[in-house]
Amino acid sequence: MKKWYLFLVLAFLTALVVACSSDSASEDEEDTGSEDTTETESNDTENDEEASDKEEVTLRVAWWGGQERHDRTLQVIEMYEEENPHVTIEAEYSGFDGYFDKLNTQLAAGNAPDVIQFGGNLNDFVARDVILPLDDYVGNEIDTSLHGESMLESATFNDQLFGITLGTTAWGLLLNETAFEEAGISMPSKEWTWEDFKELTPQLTENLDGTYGTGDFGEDGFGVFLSQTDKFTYLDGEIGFEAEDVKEWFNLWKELRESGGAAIPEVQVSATQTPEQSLIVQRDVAIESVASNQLGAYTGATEDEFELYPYPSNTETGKNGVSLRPSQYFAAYKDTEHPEEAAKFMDYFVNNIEATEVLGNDRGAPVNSDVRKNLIDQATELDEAVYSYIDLVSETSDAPYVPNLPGYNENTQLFTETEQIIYYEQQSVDEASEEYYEELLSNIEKYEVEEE
Amino acid sequence: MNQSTNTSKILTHVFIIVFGLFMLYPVVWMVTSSFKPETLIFSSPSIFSKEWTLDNYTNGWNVVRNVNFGQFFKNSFMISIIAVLANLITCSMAAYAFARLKFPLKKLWFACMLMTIMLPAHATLIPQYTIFHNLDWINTILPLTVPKLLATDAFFIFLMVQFFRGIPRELDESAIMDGCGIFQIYTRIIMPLAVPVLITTAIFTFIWTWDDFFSQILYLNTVDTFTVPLGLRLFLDSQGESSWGSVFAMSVLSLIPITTVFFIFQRYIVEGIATTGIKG
Repeated sequence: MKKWYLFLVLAFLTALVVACSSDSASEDEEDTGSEDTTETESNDTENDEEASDKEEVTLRVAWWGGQERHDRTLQVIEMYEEENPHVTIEAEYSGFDGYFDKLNTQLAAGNAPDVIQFGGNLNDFVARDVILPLDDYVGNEIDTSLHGESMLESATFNDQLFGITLGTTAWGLLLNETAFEEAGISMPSKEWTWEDFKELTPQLTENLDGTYGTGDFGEDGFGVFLSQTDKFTYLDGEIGFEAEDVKEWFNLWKELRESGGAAIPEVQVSATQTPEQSLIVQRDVAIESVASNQLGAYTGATEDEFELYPYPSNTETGKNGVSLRPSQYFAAYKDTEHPEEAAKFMDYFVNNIEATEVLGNDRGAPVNSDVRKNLIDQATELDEAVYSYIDLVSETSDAPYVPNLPGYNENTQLFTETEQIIYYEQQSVDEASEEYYEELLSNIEKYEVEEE
Repeated sequence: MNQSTNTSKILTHVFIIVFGLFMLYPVVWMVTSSFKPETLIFSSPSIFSKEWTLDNYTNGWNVVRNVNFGQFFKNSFMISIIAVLANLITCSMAAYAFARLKFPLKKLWFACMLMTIMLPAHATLIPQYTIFHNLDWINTILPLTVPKLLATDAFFIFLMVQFFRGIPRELDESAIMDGCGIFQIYTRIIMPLAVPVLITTAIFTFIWTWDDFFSQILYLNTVDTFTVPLGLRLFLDSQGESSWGSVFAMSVLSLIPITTVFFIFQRYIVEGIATTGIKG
């Protein structure tokens, strides 16, 4: 009797296991199983008809993004598969949340996708030696001849190319045209200076109800500010600025807050990077610093009209300091089994005219100049605004691309903390700036050692 | 006298109602926002809107090419239901052993089990992933369900052990007199008396599995295996364009199963607390 029960429960449990595995096992055959089957199949097909001499290949491609990007990228993948019937692409996409956590786990377990999308943190992964150098494939599978020089440089570490830039962006200022109209202030010239800026912003605050002239431009703005006097944060292992520059920057913002032009600390600390919840969309400020490829996201979140402006320039040097920046990269996993195929796919993704027409401006303006010309001809109003801004920047600014500081997260945190210390007057600007500079130096030293 | 108690009663109720509305506001906002055109969601964040639309639902349901949200619901249900059943059966068996049976090193095993609660999940993450990878289980629901068949949720075992200990041993003894063996005591005495704790386990397993994000994104790679939480994230790109309207619309839908489960079973939770109260 007792055994009979035991048997029943055991039977139920096995049924459960079978029930859940049978379903996934059938999927299994399609997904993970495909790698096994490809090898055997390729043998078969070679012997059979239509000797397609190419080996069947499965490429795993990972990226993060929103709905729009998923749709466009999937469409390009379908096009690629059609043109290259021997390639099956497994798309592994998700939102940004958890993307890098997952990637880190996969890297640790040796199970990373073949082609991976990275952001400004590509250098950190190159330092960890998990990215495939692409030099052997440039000129063969990958054509970079029409790619912007600075964009290639941005993905080059120790004289080796590690990533293909998917799009170009530039920092810029978003001006809320609707708010300017309501305030009865005419839009400034695009060749404006910090003096104009200091004069304009308090007027905005005064004429608008509950809206401040400008939000703080933050760490990214500081980088642009340095470029205006031919300085930089950190390039090729060197620090390119001094504590004096930090003081100047924070004093500039203190002045702006005191004149009423910049948002008060209580408003500023509520700022988020999410376009929909940003200060400018919420009408807390009328000017905010953004990346040019985000124009669509900001415009889509509100009924106000926005326009992209370069940063106000330094009166003495006349430079606006804005540089072209890569938005995201595709890079290949170091242990990928099909490096040539991965390289071919990346090439198709950035150089093929039809593919790039589908992708549009989603990851920033195309890096290939022919492709960009082709896209401008058929761009929507919004995309055209972005492209013409990119063109404006490449014409008016000679600032070099400065990559993220090593130890990006920690240093960004440090900058934000310093800002807040100054907002709430826990320390004077001078003290806080000096402390920031010292700590930054020691941080960079720490990460330099790690990377060697 | 009577009047003052009445007024204080009214005051308490007013306070509770106002507080309740206050707590409900975010949910109500989400529901109404899911019917608003995308451009109005953040620019006019009031509950009322001048325009109403169902676009968010149609756009959200057809999330990406070839896959719609129904698939995610199906996957989520699959994983959650297996997890609930597996936890109920295996955790109660393990708990029964700890509460009633005698076996060597029982205290040590019990301590080991408790330690697994305290071990941070991040510490075991990579070894676990490697194991599942070597088993070729990545991108299937196996890593999310098979461990549940091995009573790995120590928290529920602990919960049940405490409950089983409260069931009088005399019942076991009289069952033995009537000819029950160890297994029949489990099925005929312990399980029927343990319904409240089983319900609690079922509800929490369901909610936790349904809401789980990290282990699901870790083990599921392709979109056809995705669950609801992963599906919701597909709309969001913190640096670019997010479709908040669709997120809200699908979030509203994904709340329905959880709330239903909770409302159906909540009276058993209350019962559970009531019965555990009496036994003391």
